[in-house]
Amino acid sequence: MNIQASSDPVLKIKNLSFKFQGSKEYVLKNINLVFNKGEFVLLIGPSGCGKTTLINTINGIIPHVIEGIRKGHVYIQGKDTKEMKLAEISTHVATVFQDPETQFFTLSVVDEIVFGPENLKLPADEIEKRLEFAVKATGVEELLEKDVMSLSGGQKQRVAIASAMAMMPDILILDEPTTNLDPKGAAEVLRTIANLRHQTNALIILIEHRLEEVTKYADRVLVMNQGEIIANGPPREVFNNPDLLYEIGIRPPWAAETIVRLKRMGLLNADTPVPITPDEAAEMIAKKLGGQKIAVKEDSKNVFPHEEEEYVKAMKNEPIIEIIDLWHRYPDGTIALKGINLKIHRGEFVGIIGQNGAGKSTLLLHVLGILRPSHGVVKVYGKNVIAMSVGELSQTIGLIFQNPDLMLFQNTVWNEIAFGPRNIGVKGEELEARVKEALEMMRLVGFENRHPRALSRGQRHRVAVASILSMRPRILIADEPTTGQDFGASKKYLELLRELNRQGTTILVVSHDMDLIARYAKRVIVLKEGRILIDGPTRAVFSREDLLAETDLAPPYVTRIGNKLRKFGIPTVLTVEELVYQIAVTLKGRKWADKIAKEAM
Amino acid sequence: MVKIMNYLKAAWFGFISLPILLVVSQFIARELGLSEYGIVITLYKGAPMSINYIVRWLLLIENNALTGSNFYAVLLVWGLGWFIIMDWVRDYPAVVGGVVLTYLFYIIYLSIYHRYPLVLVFPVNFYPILIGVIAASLSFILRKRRGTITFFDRLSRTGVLVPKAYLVHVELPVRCPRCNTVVLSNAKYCWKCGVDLEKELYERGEMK
Repeated sequence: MNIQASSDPVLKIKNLSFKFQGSKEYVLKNINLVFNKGEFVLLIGPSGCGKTTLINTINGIIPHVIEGIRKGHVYIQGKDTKEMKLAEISTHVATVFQDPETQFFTLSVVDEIVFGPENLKLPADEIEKRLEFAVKATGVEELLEKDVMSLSGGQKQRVAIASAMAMMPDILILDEPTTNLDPKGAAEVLRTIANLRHQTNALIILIEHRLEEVTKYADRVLVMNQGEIIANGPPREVFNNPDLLYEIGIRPPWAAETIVRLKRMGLLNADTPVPITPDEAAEMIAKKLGGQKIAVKEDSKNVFPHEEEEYVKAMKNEPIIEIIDLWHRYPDGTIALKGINLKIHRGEFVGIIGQNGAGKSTLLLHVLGILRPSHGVVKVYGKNVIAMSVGELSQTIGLIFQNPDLMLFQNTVWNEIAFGPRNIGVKGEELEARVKEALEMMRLVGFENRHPRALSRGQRHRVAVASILSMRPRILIADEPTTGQDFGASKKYLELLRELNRQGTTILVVSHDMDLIARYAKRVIVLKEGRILIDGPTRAVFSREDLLAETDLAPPYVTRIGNKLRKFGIPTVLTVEELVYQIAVTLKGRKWADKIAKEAM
Repeated sequence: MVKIMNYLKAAWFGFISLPILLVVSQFIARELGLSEYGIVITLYKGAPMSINYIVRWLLLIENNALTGSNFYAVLLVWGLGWFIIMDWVRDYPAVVGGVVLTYLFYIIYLSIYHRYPLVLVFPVNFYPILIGVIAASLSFILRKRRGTITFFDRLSRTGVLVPKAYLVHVELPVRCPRCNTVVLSNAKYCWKCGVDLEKELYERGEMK
């Protein structure tokens, strides 16, 4: 199909403001936007900025399902959504949500895809045509005969997109379709989205945090903050100002940020275009490095020797988690862990990564004493976890859930933090002291009498961590702590864990977010199909792209840019600051780079 | 400490499970209409029974306990019970000790809690102990002959082939044979030089 943008806007938003019933603040504030057919628009913004509310005004959920005060107009094909029925809007707009299971109605993939057209009472041959179109657009041919519930996360999301495409919408909205997926599933869905770009002439609005992967498809980027559109333009233009994105808690694509920083340092010409993909950025830098006399050629192996020493030194500390020949077989016959031998020492900050089904959660459940090994032993502080009581374990290991709200159930912050210690019989002054200490550590002094649910998400996270800290655990486990959060919130949370680690708590983080693992973990354990694939210092592990590829994982984009520049002496880098610094060292020498880095601070 | 725990475990299992087994076996036998074969004793009348009453049967001190099929039905419970308990506890001396301890527990229970004169309850006979010890011994001999079934035996029965490298016990930390780097787990690859440790170390069994 032709993807040329036509001049007639398919969607027009005029002076749109909206506030929920009973709320004082407007969630959307005077939004004016025009969208053309065939456009691919990327909508970004921090959590709670109004992205989902905006798309709900487009798909008719506002005002037809969710009531509130709406000012202004939303026109689809020139018709105001206020005057259209929800059923009519649904023939123009299709939405795919974060969790595909919330929108499944039937049991088989074929039934699911044709469910929408059948509800429109279309003739059988038209339904078949639409099925064919949706299947071609999303590439789900091999899934057609399958049961919906037997699919993996990525496959489910592709089926959800196919169901939306079967409606042949003028507007397709994808609301963070990869948030709940592992890297493999996310890549699968992103490939489908890339395919859609060529298969449909519909307007596609995508809300997504993985900017590196999707920016290359976007014609336009919209940046939202506090209910307003603060930037609207082609990706190269919007990402030319990374500070604006950082200010609102969004991480710009590494490729764009690296080039903008180099331009500011005068290492690249001011008219150098902003790259969209990491390859583009690597090419630009390589061109510069290749064309200039290189001041210092560093040996990549010796740039960060202290990190490797730290890893080796760790074994001299007391091993606090010891896993010996651990096997786990679930009742359905799945062998989730296959002979794991592992030691984690006091004071380590360990990141555990791997695809879904690699055994990450099973491993954690064993450390927490929730599962009984099929074979082998798990020891915490030299004691078999199976023989430890719940009270004993809870004083040793604290688990922070993905969603802090699942951990909050008391009426005040003070009671919430005191709940754990009270349950193990701590009373009086000791209890007061523990709560006070946790409040201070989590910077919650002054919030003692507030209701936990009335706090912001970041504060709720801190209350959840404080309620664990009051148990004075020596090990903290965080399972997917950043899912569904923007970069700003995730960063703050991980900074918190790093601070606790500095104070002596051993931290284990399971995550799919390679950027955050790279930035904070000192040691990375990569799991694949129940075995440990690599275990080593973070930088060393991420430098082995070839080995990581064995389990379809890839290092953060900034590391990949750096790895492409190895022939110029750039070592493995984990953050954009490191990459820019190393390029500066290579071009101008360490003295110059240190001076500039100092000035930047 | 483990030994003492095993004695207590065996005695506790016996103390709790034998009365349950007696009632359940009688209930099943009665429901299946097995009275004509002499398996249903006069114990079960279809109404709730006191623990005191059940224990008296188990000690064979109830009226008519030593007569006819009643006697064999009680001994069957002692035999079957200790045969199963041996399978759970897997510690022969502890289970034999458990038989004696259970017998004594019942006597203590009746004499202290229900004020039965010791002369009445102790020891009318030692048949239960004898049968319990024989049953536990039988279970022990059978287990010995059968051998211990490991997790890996069960896996191979289901047709799962486990690579040799996965079965090698690894003493941590591991040192890479190529670059001598320390690895704190049995990872497949060395993080420093990328050598395949599974092939180079574990498959050859050098870590044993």
